[in-house]
Amino acid sequence: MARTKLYSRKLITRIVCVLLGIHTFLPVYSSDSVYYAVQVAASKEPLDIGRFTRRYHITESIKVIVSEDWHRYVIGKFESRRMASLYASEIESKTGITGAFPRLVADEPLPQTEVKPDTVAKAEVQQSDTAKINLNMPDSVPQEKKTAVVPSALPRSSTPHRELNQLLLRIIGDKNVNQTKKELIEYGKNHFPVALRKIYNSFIERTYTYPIVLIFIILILFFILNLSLILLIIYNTNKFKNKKERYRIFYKNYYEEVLSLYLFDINDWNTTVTKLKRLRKPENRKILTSVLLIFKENLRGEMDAKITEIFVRLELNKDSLKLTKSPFYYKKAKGIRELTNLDPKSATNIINNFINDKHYQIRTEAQVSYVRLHPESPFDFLKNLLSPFSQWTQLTAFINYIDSPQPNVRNFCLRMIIFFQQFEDATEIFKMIESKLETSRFLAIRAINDLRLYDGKSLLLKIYESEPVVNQVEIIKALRNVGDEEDFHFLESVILSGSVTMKVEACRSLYFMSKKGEETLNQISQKHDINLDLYLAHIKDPRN
Amino acid sequence: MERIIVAEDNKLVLETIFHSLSREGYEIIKANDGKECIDMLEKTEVDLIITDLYMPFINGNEIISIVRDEHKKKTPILVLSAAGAEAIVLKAFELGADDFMVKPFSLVELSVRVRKLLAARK
Repeated sequence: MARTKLYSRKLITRIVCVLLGIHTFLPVYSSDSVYYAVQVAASKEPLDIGRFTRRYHITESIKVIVSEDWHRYVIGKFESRRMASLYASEIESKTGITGAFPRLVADEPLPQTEVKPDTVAKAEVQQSDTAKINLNMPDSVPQEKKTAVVPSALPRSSTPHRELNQLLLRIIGDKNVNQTKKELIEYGKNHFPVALRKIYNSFIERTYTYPIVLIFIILILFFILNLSLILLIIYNTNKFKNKKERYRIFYKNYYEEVLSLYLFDINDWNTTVTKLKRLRKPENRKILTSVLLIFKENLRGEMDAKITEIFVRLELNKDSLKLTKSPFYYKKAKGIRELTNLDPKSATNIINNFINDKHYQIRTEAQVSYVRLHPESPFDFLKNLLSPFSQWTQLTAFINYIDSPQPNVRNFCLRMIIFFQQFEDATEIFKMIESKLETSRFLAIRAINDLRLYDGKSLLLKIYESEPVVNQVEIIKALRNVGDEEDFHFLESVILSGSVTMKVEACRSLYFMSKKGEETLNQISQKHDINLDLYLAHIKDPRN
Repeated sequence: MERIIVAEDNKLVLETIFHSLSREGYEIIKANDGKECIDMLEKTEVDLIITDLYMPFINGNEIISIVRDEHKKKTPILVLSAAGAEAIVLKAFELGADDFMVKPFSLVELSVRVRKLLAARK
């Protein structure tokens, strides 16, 4: 486990170094307690490690060795002096530090402390203090190296992203950066669950450890990867669909040809079955069913039996039956349609199960199928309809279903009776005048009006007083067509007391009822000193 | 042998009519759309035109108009269509169609109507 972690860390470090262009800036970790490291700085007063690492772009952990009033700062862990020496040269060339040298380090519990590059040491070191730092002091190195001083200028090897980082640091300032980091971590503690907090902290830590440019590069790579993935998916989906469509067209044409030859007795059944290839595949069975449906849509008569025979003999009806049991409504509807067209016998057996289905589209499909399957009594399903009826029109004697327990079936029947002017049984329409539903009564009044059911006039006048305004207006309108001179008095009372709408309709009914009605209207105007000219102008206007 | 041109964009219907009428002894010319039909009519003489109403490029009504008004021919025309509304049928007849059949149609019925139209031509 520990080994795996070590390898992972090595791998991540290597990737980061490669991305940053510091391919060899990679120490080899030693497992011994005594090893070589590279001393990069030494000072009498403790250094601000965070600032130091940022300034020289050191990504490795810095170990502080305190002895004889000196604080020595070392990095890396090497098995040999030679490796450490090579690493020292690399540090010099990459970071701009001069006088880095290898030294032997023995792991001791104290006073050695390991500090992460971005951690700010508690020691207060001013920017100007860097000039006082003596590198490689005091130790067994040549004298000239002991006096080497950390350069106060920028590192020699400056890459664009380093410059960018430094620029950002200059703008934002070290303190602000650390403050933001602390605030972000604090925010995570307060707002995120424990499970997420670890990932969040690690993300923040990495964001502040690695250069911002790297984060951008990773983000850019991530977006490029996403984009590539989406493009790949679109391309493959398109390719797959085109291939499927080509396959479908090929087999559709092929099956059409084979079936044509069978339908015209050019080939016998056995030859046809042999030629109908790949029929074990569900996709091909679907194609064949669609071909049979096209035959059915275009041909009738002697071909009907043959098409059904093909459908049943190839057991395609079983597939359609399976579809009717599907949990998906569109598959169910498809199954019902296929069976209705190609195997009416099977469809008749199952269709009643779907008449009251929960899904309105399945109900509609089943109802349409019922009409097709029962030519002698196509609308008998209305008697057993318990679910709301979807609105569609078919010619039948809708009066037969007007006593349905479903109010919307009753209303639908009334609308259809009006629309198709069906006079089969007026008494059933009169019964609807006593309906508890206002809409049903409204439609019944309209039916009496539109069908000119004169016998219904007395009923209309009887219910007038108890009806809501909408229905009262409809009754006044109806009198224009079913009323006579007996109703002049009633209409006069409406003109004298009713609302504007009622007055308009009463005037209209009187005016258009007969010549006598028109004269009565003038008499009312004179007798009661009412100016009806405006109403008359309105009703005479063909736009109204 | 009487020659009949069948203009139909539905390959299945076209093939079916072809097989059915070929067996009756007619010479059938197949046209997959209206344009193909007009091109063929300009090249060859036919005894009967069977056309679908809705086709790409040139539709059935246009074929009737071209044959009657431009070609000035009295070749009998039988229209096949899934749309059987009164207005559509009347329009076809007004343009000069001789017969109209609504899909789905019976091949036996088609055969009888073809025979009648050809006999009337003679």
